[in-house]
Amino acid sequence: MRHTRGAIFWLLCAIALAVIVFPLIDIVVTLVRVAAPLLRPSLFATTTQAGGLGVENGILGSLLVGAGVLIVAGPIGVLAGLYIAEFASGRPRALLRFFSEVLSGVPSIVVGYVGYVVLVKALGWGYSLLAAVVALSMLILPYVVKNTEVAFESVPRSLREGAAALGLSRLTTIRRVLLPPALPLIVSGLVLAEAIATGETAPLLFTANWSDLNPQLGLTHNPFGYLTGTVYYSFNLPSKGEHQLAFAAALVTVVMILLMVIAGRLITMRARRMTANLEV
Amino acid sequence: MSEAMGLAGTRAESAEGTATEGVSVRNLGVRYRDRVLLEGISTEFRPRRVTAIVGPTGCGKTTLLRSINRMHDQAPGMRVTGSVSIDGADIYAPGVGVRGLRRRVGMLFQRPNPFPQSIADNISLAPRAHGLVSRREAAHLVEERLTEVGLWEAVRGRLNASPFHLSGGQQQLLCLARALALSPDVLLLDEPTSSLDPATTEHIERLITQLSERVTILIVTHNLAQAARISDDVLFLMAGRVVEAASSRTFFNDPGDERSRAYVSGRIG
Ligand SMILES: Nc1ncnc2c1ncn2[C@@H]1O[C@H](COP(=O)(O)OP(=O)(O)O)[C@@H](O)[C@H]1O
Ligand SMILES: [Mg+2]
Repeated sequence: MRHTRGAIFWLLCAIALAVIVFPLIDIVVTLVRVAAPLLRPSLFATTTQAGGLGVENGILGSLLVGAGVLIVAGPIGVLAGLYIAEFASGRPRALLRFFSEVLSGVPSIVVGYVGYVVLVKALGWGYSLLAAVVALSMLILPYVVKNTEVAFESVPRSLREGAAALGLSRLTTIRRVLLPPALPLIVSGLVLAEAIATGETAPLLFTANWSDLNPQLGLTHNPFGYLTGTVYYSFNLPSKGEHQLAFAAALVTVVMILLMVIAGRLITMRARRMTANLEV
Repeated sequence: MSEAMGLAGTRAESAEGTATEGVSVRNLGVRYRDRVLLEGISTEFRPRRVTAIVGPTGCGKTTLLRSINRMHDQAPGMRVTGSVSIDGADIYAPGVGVRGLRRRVGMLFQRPNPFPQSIADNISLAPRAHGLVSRREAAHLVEERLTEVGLWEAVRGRLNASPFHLSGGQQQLLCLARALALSPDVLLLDEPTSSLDPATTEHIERLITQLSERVTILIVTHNLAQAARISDDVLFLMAGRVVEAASSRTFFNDPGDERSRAYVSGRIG
């Protein structure tokens, strides 16, 4: 009886693993298979201008948006999460949490449309990097806030007490005692945010529009390309080359997200080394 | 059992410190919302002596200990009344800096709680943060304190490694070294050996005796044999009140209160 139950448990685990792993492998294999003819260095040195089959403008745009989102939403989100977890109490904390949760429930296409109405039109930024970064930041801010908040709140109480008993200041406590165990979760929130920023399409259609050229200097009034746009616009074009380009751009997007996850791991490695075996 | 323990090495009483030295508790009360945790506690902890705080589970031993470095300050719903003085100065007086107080009053918890920093940083973090030592002096301090608690030989080759690979006993010794790095005048120990093996327990007991030459030590313990071995004085609490405060010799051999007698003989507690 117990034996069968154990076997069923492991079977379910294997199925769950398969449900996650096989589609991922299938996706990557399909992408590589279809995109194969385009997978050569020139893919990265060609823009989509004049029917060009390349992702150069897409990658540059996505990298710019990703960096912008990290610069805008990263500090704001981490500080807001830290504030909720360690400083706020009562009404301000409840209010901040509420706003963050509401924000996380807004569909990305709505964020895009609001971004168009407010940023592109009302504020007069036009289709631009600034509008795209602000719109995407709104979208991912709740993830960064929530992860940071949970990260600090899940640090064992005994560590806070130890720090308090030594008369450490709040800042020293946060920096030296709470941050190491909190860091992996904070970074994974940022990586998730970056992955979403790289993988989103709808908000960018509304705020960046599209350009076949590489991104131009200037934060406002400069429509630009992005990887998911390359996928979106090329996929339905009749030419076989365009179809392959859509798959190549999708593959590059997946690889970029993978690199972000790896970078996140590397960043948290030192912190993990010092917190391994820490009982929570 | 009581006789055996009573005769087993309670330490001889020796000269009193000056009147203002040590820790003096006056009519201390602690409430959590409308629940009374401690009431009317008045007692003296003699300087450079070991006082064991004993009593049944939930009688308020930890609560008393935490009143002496103001650990209740941040806890919502906790209210402290009365006064606690260290070397004659009221630690709850307005204007007293709680961080400065905790620099002078070290604490060791029931379960070891090393910081997620290297072994060396665990020790140097607080003295550096309080501006007591330079970076260069810190390295020396690390060796000095680790040597004092008898951990140096075991960890000298991995000072930059995580403390969480150490055994529980070694982690507790590290926490003791960490507290000692601030050169405290008072040490609050909350059942520091209750989760440790007998060898480490004995080692820590010896350290406590040595430290009492220069530090005022308050130790909460469930272990009456331990209290008899290492304490000069005993404070016996029940239900948030003092039942008896006496020298260890008196408490274990000829207690003044019937409840102490019952507790020492194992009939209550
Ligand atoms: N933070 C707290 N909030 C509410 N009640 C508490 C808190 N800390 C302790 N108590 C209560 O105070 C009483 C004394 O606790 P404690 O001092 O930990 O006892 P002891 O250390 O003697 O076992 C217990 O009844 C406990 O439930
Ligand atoms: Mg206790």
